[in-house]
Amino acid sequence: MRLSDADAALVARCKTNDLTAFEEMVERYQHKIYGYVRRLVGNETDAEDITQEVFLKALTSLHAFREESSLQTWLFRIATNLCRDLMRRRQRERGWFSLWRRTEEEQEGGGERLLDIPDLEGDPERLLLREELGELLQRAIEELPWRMREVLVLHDLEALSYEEIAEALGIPLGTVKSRLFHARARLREALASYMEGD
Amino acid sequence: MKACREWEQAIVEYVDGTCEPQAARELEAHLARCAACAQAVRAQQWLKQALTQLERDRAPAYLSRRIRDHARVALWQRARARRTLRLAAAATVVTAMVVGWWGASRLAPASVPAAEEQALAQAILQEYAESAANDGFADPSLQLLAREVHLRTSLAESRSP
Repeated sequence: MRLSDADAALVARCKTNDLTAFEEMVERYQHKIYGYVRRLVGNETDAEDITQEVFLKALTSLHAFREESSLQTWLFRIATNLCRDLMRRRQRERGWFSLWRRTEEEQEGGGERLLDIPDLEGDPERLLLREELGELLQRAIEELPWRMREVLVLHDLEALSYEEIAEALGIPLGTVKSRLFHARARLREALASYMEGD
Repeated sequence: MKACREWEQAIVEYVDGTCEPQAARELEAHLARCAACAQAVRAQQWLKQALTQLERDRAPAYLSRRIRDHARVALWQRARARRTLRLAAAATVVTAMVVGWWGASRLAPASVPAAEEQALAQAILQEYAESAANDGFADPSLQLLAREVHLRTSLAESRSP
């Protein structure tokens, strides 16, 4: 994916510390970056902080942007790295505590029944009229393994092509498709277990 | 005969509508024989449709303003850091020049006007001659000094136009 003419002009202006150009870049990409980050990290506060960090990092690192990929791909790459950093920090902070707590809750039968619609073969559009399904999907996405989650959100929610995802994550094209297949399969499986009840 | 696992990537492309026609025909032929893969395709289609219906998150309105404010601060800090760096570089150059000049001035002999030097040389030579005549011997240090003065005077004379 090459840099588009519009983005090339924007990048050139940003490199001269043109704050208006920077604002244009933020306006153009903030919703996509925020949407991606929000789905990965699971809460608004961290999503806002990381989105902000993505653009500030982009501003101060533009001289290192080689313009061989699209601006969007580059921003998603920065976002991915920042999200991974956050996840690593979270893992260090929580350690085994969260795992122990979750296991305990499961053993005690904790956690409410999410949705009482066992029919998964129905029309998802109709099912999605129910707000709960959105929450359920988000929860299922958050429980996906991290690498699968990145690919699924980038492709199925942010509509990046396989090639763009391969560039953003630095993985081969075949790996993108394979991870996407397994992410969807796992998500579908998780949804079925939620909807069919405990 | 391909194993089901080998159809995974083709299934993804098929569900996304990016599969080449020939590959799609091959997959469809496989799906007609393989219930597991056919089920996988249906599941992926269902899920993809569900996800496309999911409401997209949008960044809150205040976020762009917050980012812009932080960007301003970042640019200001960067400009200040560059200015500090330039000042430090300039200060280093000036310090080096001052130290160099001071060192050179310490090492180089003090410049004495040629006329004064000649007068001084004459006085030393005279003292040396008087000392030698009166005492019958000359102070060795005075002798050395007189020789140096003599040499320097000769050199100055030879250089003068």
